[in-house]
Amino acid sequence: MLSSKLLIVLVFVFSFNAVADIAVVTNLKNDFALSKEQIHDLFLGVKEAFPNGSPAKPVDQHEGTLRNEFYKKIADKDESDMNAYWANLIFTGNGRPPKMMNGNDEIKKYIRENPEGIAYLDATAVDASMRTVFVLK
Amino acid sequence: MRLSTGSRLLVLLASWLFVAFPTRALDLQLRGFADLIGTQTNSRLALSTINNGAHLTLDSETRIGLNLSSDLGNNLSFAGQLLAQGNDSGQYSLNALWIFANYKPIEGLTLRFGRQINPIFLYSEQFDVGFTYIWTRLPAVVYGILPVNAFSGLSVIYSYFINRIQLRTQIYGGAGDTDVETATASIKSSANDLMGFETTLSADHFKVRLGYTSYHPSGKMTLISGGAPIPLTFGHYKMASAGVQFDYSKFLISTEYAHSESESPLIHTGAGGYASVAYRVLPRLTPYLTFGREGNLSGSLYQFPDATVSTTQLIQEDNYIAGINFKLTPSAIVKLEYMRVENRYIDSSKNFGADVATGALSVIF
Repeated sequence: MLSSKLLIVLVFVFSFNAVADIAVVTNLKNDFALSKEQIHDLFLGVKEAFPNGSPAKPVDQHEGTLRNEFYKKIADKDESDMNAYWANLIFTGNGRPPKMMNGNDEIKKYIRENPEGIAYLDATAVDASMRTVFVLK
Repeated sequence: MRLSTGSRLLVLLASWLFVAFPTRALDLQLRGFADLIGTQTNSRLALSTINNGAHLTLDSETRIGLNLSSDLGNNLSFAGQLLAQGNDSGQYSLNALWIFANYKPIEGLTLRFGRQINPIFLYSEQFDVGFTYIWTRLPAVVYGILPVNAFSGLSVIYSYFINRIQLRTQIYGGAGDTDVETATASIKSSANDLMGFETTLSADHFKVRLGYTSYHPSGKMTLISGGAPIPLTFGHYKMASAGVQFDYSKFLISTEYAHSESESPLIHTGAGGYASVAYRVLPRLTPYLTFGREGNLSGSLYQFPDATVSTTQLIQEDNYIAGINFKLTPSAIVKLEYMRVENRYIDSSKNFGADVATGALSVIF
């Protein structure tokens, strides 16, 4: 009885700490893979084109766990660090952050319709209408 | 509230963009920042050494900024920043800090037209945005000595990468202007034939910037006591600077040095520099120490036309700064800072030391 209660508690605790894989996705027309560094450069505005030279337009999730986790994994920056990073670029006129979209449905639609689009999703939300170019564990 | 010509231009341009382009095509972004700064000191003399001679009150340093940017497509974008800031008399004015268009014909190359910040120092473009730096205000021994901070003209910016290291070079030219108010006179000056360049080397944990600018200042001085404006010419002015920022693990180290030369005794000639070390003791809490020195000045605009300018000439100014930076939320920072100012003059009877305590709340939205 005690062990089953302990199991329930452990499942409860780990369900809050579990971090899902994050998939970085693009349009199906793109046939390249990307490295973690290349994803970092695209989402932090360091570079504005895919490795093949075609323009890239990253889009962002709204503030929340997935977004914080994504930037922690690709840049080791928390929400506050990212705010400071973009403030440095926005308020000097040297860059703009990726446009934020409202949830997975809007992001999937954008990726399906725009070959220059790149986004990230909870890996479980990815479907056959987009190409996964990298998975952040 | 007073509206400058530049801010009217920005409002007009934004209105035109709204009318000329469909909202979706404009891709407009509106952002903002604010700094609420209060200062307490035991000497009014110390106040003239900070922030280009402005008297420090809650009004004169508190500011609100709005940033508007738009991607117009076809490699063309536009950005502008408005700043509302008070003065000693408690009145607020609205000015366009900068407003320019960017054209990117190829990856890495940007042509920039419009009013821009002279980017000679490491944090020049961030001067009014307290959220982007650790101090309550940028060290005056470097950031207070460039008479003209903005210009209207053209910049050519090129950046390329060597592995993970980015090299960015900006070459620029145009004309600038600035107004200086002293206790005895008002000076409107222009920076003619302004030109300069900056080169910035940056990687994940460090940034190095070298800068140079030169121009021919001229202007008109009006004495507070009355009379016709007096034309002024200042000869050739030039400044060179170097700055390094190192940000690794818990350490944030910044150091800058600037050297200026002028053919006129009325404008600063000399050098200033600072070194600052910050250590993130907690994820949200970062104490810092800064030492700054400015010296060998041949003169100062702010003392003109005081007849005793030669005896009140500043030989050396030292700033000792200790502060704490606390992240209140991801978008708000509280800063508390103490500064000791030590000034030495040719006439040693003018020497003084002062203590300045500053509290600031910096936010972005």
